[in-house]
Amino acid sequence: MIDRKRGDTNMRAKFPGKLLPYLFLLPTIIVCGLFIYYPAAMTFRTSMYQSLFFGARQRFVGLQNFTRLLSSPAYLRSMGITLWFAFLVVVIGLSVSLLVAVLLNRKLLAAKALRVALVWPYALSPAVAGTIWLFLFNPHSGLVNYLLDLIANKKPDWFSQPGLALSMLVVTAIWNNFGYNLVFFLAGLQNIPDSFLEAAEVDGASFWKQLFHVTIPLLSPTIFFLLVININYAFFDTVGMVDVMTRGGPANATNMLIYQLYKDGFQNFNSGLAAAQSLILFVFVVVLTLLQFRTTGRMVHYGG
Amino acid sequence: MRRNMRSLVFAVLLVFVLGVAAAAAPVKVTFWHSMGGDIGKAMEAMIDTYNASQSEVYVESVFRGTYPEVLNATIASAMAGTAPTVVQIYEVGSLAAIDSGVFVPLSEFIGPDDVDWNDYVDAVVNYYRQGDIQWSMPFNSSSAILYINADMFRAAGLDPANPPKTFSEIIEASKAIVESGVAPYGITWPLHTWFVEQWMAEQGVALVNNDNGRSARPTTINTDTEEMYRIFNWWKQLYDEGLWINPGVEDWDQANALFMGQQVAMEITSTSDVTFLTNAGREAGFEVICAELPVPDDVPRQGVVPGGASIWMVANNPKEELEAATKFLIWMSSPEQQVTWHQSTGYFPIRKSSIALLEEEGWFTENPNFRVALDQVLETIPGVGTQGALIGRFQEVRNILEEAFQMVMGGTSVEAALAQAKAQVEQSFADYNSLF
Repeated sequence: MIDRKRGDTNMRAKFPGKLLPYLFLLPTIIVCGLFIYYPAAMTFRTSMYQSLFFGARQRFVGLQNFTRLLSSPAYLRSMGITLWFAFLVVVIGLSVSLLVAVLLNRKLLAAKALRVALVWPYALSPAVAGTIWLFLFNPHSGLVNYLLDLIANKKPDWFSQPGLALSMLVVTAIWNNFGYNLVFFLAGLQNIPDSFLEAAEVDGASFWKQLFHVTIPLLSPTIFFLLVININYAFFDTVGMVDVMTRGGPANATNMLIYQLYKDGFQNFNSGLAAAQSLILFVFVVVLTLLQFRTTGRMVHYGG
Repeated sequence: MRRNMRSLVFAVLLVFVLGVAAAAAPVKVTFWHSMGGDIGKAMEAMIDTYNASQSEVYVESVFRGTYPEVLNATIASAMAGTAPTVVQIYEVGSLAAIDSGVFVPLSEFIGPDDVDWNDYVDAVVNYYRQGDIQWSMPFNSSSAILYINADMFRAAGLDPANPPKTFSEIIEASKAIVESGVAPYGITWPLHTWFVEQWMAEQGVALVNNDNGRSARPTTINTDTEEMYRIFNWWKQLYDEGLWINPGVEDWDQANALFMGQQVAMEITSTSDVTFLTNAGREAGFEVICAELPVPDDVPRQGVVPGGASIWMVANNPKEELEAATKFLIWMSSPEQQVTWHQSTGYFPIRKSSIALLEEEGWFTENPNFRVALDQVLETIPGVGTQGALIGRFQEVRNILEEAFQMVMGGTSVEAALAQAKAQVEQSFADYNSLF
């Protein structure tokens, strides 16, 4: 006993000085510093400048970029559109994928093949997904209007009407992220012991009762995780989709915050304004995520 | 001794081989461009010809997306020190290119005897010239023209040999087409500010102040003018009456698809599609006839702004690479190559002697559609309007005017939408100018 104890103390390496731990941390510090903290610091700095051509010309303007954005009706409108879009994508997207996951989790014929087929869309980048749906929604030659024409004798112009253009993007965004949500829901569902659901069934609970009172509470960690991920998806990853499908139109009706940022930063050579926008977006998402941890986070049941 | 001899021979041989290799190794020139689809293939073919024709310069071309994307990528990569040698920049990116400080004027590399500037079409070469500085090599030039589906015209009781020339004739023709049930819509063109720029030029007025930005950086845009109202009101009428169909913002391909799919009987688009649309019509079984860009009623036709692009040299490159690039640019704009380029696309030849070559060949008699595209440019009256605007953040101005028309489509009045656009543009100009 004593020997072993001594052996332990002897074997524990003793390093001179307090610097060594930092030496081991150095690679991480360098990588994070170079690729995360330095760019972030530059973004803060750039946001205080009126600048042209990625900083080739610039002039310090203090908080002007921020005051201008926050007092611009167009920017505030874009913020409202983004929130509405994110709300629709998250709520509809998560509900539909949860429902499909529950159905797929049953003992179905060819369940595995179906799962693969449904997860597939996630492999496509948002820009490619946008291109596919652009063809489907084409008012004259697209499949969507062909079917609508057969069923309801209508051929709406998806690209000229604000409401339709936004709903088109919502559908595409949900479809693109559907596979991702499905994988996590299926994994979560497989962790729920069959005995729980069997007990509920013996007690005579209907499909919906089982869903709301057994499955969803037990899935709450997964749902919470997907909520955060999907909000980030709706806020940031949809820029390619918007660019391909609507370019923010008609009349800015689908001009998301991230697309406005892209236009200012990369088409209008206005890095200062774009940097300010990225900081506003950053604060926005941090606040939203914190709010979730405060509210929804409390309802999460991690089991055990 | 023998060993020494052998090494000496070896050394001499080595020097010789390396020397020959160094002399023979062509200088590599990277070239970023925006020519996609069939036009892109035509350009690649030209570059292949060039690479095969000589051994001093090897050009590696890369398709880098749309015009705004290429300009942006070039400035970004020049800041990072990884820029290509030469880049194709669209005409409205010229001031941004100059102001960015990334490019070196072509005139620094071209001696007085290397190029005969007098042989270049004046309107084109002047666009890229500031005083004595020739900034870039003109390459592809185009303007907007009217394409007509002649079979549909005949079916609607219209005469394709007498195409609509004015705004109200376009409305009449469109009505005839829609009412006779020949096509669901009369006409289309991409929802793009480029056309508005052309119609301002046709009326002989500047788009922005300070002589269209040529005497100083502009501070305001002429959206609150009779000329601009004329364009917007006519466009609005076409949309409201279901005569013009919206193919999408800056969506050239969709506009072509509507014309080829016979959803419309007329399309206004770039002359660079003459070859493509004429052939597409032939394949789909209809005849395509080109006509000059229609203009507002009772306004004398002033002409168009030479659109398209020129090729710029990135400053931060080795001298020998830029000199090699200069040879390539001279070749690309040579009369023979401009003939090839014109015949395979529809971009008009930028050399006067190319036009002579084409006429000799009888090209225009056989292909009258190409004649229209060229005439429109040659007939252009030089002036402040037809010279085209120089604007730093041109793409932003285009986006703002495109938004303005979309607001009009949504029910906002033309005056209100254009007043809002003016305020936005003035803000953009003030910001830009504050940095110089």
